[in-house]
Amino acid sequence: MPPKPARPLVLEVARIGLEVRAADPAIRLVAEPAHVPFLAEATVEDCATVLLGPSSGRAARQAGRTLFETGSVWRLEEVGEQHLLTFRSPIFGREPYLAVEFDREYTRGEGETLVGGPILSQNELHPFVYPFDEVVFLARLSRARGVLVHACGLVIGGRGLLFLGTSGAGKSTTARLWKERGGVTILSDDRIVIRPEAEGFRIYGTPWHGEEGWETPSSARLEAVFILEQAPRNRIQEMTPSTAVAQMMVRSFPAMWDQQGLEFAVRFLADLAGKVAVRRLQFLPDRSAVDCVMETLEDGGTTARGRTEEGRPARMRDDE
Amino acid sequence: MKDHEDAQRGAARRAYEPPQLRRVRLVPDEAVLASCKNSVTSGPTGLAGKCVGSPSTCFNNAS
Repeated sequence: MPPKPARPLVLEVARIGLEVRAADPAIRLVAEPAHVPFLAEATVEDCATVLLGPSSGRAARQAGRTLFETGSVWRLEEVGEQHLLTFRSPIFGREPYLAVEFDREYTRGEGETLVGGPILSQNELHPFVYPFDEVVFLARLSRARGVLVHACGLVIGGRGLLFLGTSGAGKSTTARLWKERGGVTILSDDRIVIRPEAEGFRIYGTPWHGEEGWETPSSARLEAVFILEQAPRNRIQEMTPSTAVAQMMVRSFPAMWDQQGLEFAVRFLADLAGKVAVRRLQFLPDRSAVDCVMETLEDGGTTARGRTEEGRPARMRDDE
Repeated sequence: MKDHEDAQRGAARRAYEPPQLRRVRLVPDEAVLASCKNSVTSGPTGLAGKCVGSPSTCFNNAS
């Protein structure tokens, strides 16, 4: 009697699904601890499917047109009508430890992974290994679904607050300070998905957490955005929409290889900057920063209307 | 009447501001998910999400 096919894993982030099946029914699919709360029990309407099997060396022999080269772990090639994602590491030699071919909309994929590599070993398949799942999600988001940002997102009293920053800006510190205040749900201290909804935007937690390891499969209506900047004192500055878009863009993960995806991200963030207040938050890493934000929210409202930016604009200037 | 409408429209219109070039700092490795998130250890070999990339692109995901 043939073995019973292994149960697929369905990762759901921001109401978008990624279902992974093992080509070999004897292989057990395992989710990483941070991903477990994001596994869907019910069907996800907007869902991509990926079938993964052990490597046959086929991906190493395929030659396509390079669409995007990160110079590091992964690259994207065009092979016929398909998009081929390959992931390599010097630890595992020249052959990709993971290669997955997708249709152009990233709805269906089929791939191979190195036996004894970071994904398949000892008959266990760990498909949600950084950065594979994240790359697939950002490719799908770029098809007019939303934008993945480098941010700490939290919910307080049903209001969603977003604190954007690159590594070292203080996202995990911010998450910890707000958690200590209490009455707060941390959606993630490193990656947040923003999606449009009726008359506004919604922020969603992701499993791709930061240093503090906070992630929650929850969401909230986006009320305010802050660009994090550590400083010797707390200060909140309004930003013009154009500055806000530029600052958000460099803290987001658009599909860099795809003109349509990049244009979508710029339009999306411009629309957001027109509807939601985006401010620069210079802050001290202590409780006073939380109080400063709360005072601003209570005093100034959260819409983007009627804002001014401090300082006279120069012909060219650095925003940071 | 037409003058009045034009005046109203003019008042509502924002003053012209010439286009400006702004420079913003991008961290390329982070922007394309090329860096390791080596604060996480998981996967069957303990390497998943760890430092499987080029050592030169490694950074501690401290934020």
